[in-house]
Amino acid sequence: MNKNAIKTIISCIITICLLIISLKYLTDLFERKQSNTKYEPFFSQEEEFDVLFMGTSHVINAIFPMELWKDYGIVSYNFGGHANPLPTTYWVMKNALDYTTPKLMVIDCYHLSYNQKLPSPLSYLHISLDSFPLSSTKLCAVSDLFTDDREKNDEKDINKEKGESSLTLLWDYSIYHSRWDELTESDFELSPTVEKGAESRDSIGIPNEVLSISSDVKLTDETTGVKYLCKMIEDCQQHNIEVLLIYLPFPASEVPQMEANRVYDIAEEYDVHYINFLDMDIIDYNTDCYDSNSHLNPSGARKITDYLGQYITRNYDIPDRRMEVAYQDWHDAYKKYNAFKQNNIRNTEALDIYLMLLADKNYDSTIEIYNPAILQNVYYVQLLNNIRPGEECYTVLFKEDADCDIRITVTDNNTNETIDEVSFSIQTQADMDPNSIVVTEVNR
Amino acid sequence: MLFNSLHFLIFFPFVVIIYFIIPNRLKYLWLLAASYFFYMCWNPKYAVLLLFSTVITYASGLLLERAGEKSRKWIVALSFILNIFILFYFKYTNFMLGSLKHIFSLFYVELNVPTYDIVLPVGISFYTFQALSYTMDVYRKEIYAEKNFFRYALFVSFFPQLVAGPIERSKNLLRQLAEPKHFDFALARDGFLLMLWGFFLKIVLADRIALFVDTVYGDYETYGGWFLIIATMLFGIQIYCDFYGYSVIAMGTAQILGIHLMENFNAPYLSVSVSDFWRNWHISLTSWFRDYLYIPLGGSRKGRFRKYLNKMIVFLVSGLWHGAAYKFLIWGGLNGLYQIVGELLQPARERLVALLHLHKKNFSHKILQTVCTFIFVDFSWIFFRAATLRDALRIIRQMFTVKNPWILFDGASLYDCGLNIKYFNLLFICIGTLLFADCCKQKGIQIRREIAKQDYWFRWLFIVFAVCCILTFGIWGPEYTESNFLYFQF
Repeated sequence: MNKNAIKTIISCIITICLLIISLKYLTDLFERKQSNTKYEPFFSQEEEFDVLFMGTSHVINAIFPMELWKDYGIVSYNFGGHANPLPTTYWVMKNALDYTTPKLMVIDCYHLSYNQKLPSPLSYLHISLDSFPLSSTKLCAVSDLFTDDREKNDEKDINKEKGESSLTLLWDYSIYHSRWDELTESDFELSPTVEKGAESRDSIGIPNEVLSISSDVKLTDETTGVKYLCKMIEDCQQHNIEVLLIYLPFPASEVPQMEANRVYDIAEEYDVHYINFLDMDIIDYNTDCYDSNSHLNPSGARKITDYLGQYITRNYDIPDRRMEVAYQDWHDAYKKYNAFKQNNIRNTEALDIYLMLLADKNYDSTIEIYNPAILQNVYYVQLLNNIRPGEECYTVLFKEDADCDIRITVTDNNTNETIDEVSFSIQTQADMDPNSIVVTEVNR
Repeated sequence: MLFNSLHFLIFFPFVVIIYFIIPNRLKYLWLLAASYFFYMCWNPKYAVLLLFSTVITYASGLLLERAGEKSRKWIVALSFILNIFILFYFKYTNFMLGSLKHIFSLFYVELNVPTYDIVLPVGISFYTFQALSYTMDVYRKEIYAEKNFFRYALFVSFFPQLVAGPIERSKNLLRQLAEPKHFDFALARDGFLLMLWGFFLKIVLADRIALFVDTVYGDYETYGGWFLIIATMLFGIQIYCDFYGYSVIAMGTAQILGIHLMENFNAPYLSVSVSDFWRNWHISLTSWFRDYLYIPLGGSRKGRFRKYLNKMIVFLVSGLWHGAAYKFLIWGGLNGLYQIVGELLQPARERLVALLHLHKKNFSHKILQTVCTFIFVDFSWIFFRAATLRDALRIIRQMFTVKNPWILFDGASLYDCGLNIKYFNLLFICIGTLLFADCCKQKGIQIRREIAKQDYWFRWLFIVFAVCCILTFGIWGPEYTESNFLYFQF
């Protein structure tokens, strides 16, 4: 080979390398950041995680890993994905196992009756998978997730679209490159989640009607969901990872209840534990949901998280890592998480959401009520009683010259620092709907 | 298979690598197989038509060489009739039947004409014309008939220019297909830069302009006046970038394989008259019509009237070649008319220039001529772009009856038609780049050559920068349905 040919080859290689580096930078820059935000703390931790939580948005909103750390020293991560059917959850788990080997895998079994593999809309899949670097596992995930649906669908155009969509999972620049006109500061400076994959939704929703069916009525079909749940359990058992199946609470209609009933059989078949929260009375649907569907708000999530913390500590050999040097940065992470919670309280102006957020055993609150009208409202009474169930956490004081109707002081019971002092003025009329209390003024 | 598709990005490097690995004697066979695969990706059945056209023109070439003078005419006529019949059947059957029905209805005769569901084979107008040019060249004894059937089949089906041109001449392409090819880095780099330029024109410019034009033309009753004027101006640029982009990618693709295709565009919007425009626009088609229709009709040799008549015939046929619809006929006719009127008014224009003491060689005069030419050509594009002739007439009415010049200044209205202000700014930069490139081309400066002359670090960074810009600002990927190159329908 002559000198010129060698020069040419080197020149081509350098150009290709420069191009790859530039495209890598652009890919990272243009990526929608939800996935990075969710997974950054997972990828940046070198130490193993002891517990991983898998499932749908029910998991995202119901289990707070930082609370498990604070109360039980459990090192965990929330891998719940919006609308993920179990096949998607399976592949999220497989990808996660490339980076850590937990002692316990907690799997929510919602969507067991589903036959589809992909979440809808497909952008949810991007949130679940974008951050995982390209690997053989990711290639298998994309290949598997898009296979069955493609075979079942006769529409050529839809198949083509799905084929292209699978490319976007392997190289997401192919879908995000058009974001050049919407880049903001957050695209250049990533702000990772402080909740270790979980998401607090500070709202209160009126849930759907709660139905109840007999525990004998079960899902009998061998759905894709069942198949992939079994695969998840088998894979975990092969890797000596214990499995805990759960069915998180929500006002379930008939089919989800049939799903939850079927999981008893699967748990028995594989000899794993199962907690069916639908059969338990932990959640108050009047105060603990943020929408009608119904996902849990922080009040509900803290109840579920606490129950799970106790259950895991009791039934599995999960170490308390709070005193371990290797996990000291979790204390710093908790401080950030606590500051995030406190900020949420400070930034809340709606009285009902404020009361919901006070349902946190880490905070003490002193509530002085100057206007007894609030106690005639069932909704607010439920929220007041939810702060410390079984205890009366408020004082009724009658002051004619009071400059507000309710005054609240919140303190952190670990540091005794005052987090927030706030007073609310309300407007209520006897002839109006009892729920129509309107906050007219908030003073801090 | 489209050039701007993932399939092509896999297909082409594979073809190139194998092409330069295998021995020279097999290269054309490999390209032939690749070309048929390329075509069959769209519809395998229609490759039979391509083969049929190839066989007819190949056989006619051989026969023309052996036949006597009398039978030569019959052979060339037969070749033309068979090929034109296929083209006519697939492209014009419904149009002719519809026209017949319309003509009879003028005389109150109800004609029950069925409409056939005929799928137009991609690129049929291009490869039919290319094959027929070969027959004519052999008939005129300008070339010898090709004896190797497979090499001839490759001439008709060569994938870079199979579905949208340029319509190559046998004199140029057949000879090159017979020559041995070795990998030439400088040539391949030049071809790659051409492809980048083509992709820039297609996916950054044409496809983005289409967002605005489609919105406005799709609802011209709502978007009247200046919306339509801006959309029509932009459509002139869109169709140029779309077709020029395809041609440039075709040239670049062929060049990497060591084959030079003819230039199809030469800065047409810098032309100073409509005749000049047609010398620089879709050169391969214009020159085809000149050589195989205009000159055989007598060209300008039989007096002024025949010259104008011949010109009109050529442009009407050219219109119909672009599509089987009255709107294309009007578009072609209008372009013919511009040139005839232009020539007729030439003395008067000369007198006016002298009277006003204008200097024809001045830059300002050339700008005036260029702008006027653009306005005339762009006006004719309305017929090309509108869905039907009736729509075109309504669009013209809407354009001139709705008064809304404030949309140019209110900072909002224009940005609500598929392109926001950032996209518009990007478009201005890109159109400026295109204008700069065309000016350089007209002055004989080849930008690719200038880039190649620069130091290695500049060349590396330029290629990286160009690829990143095209990928970032181009319209591609799953959110985007790969819009077909406009010229595929012809």
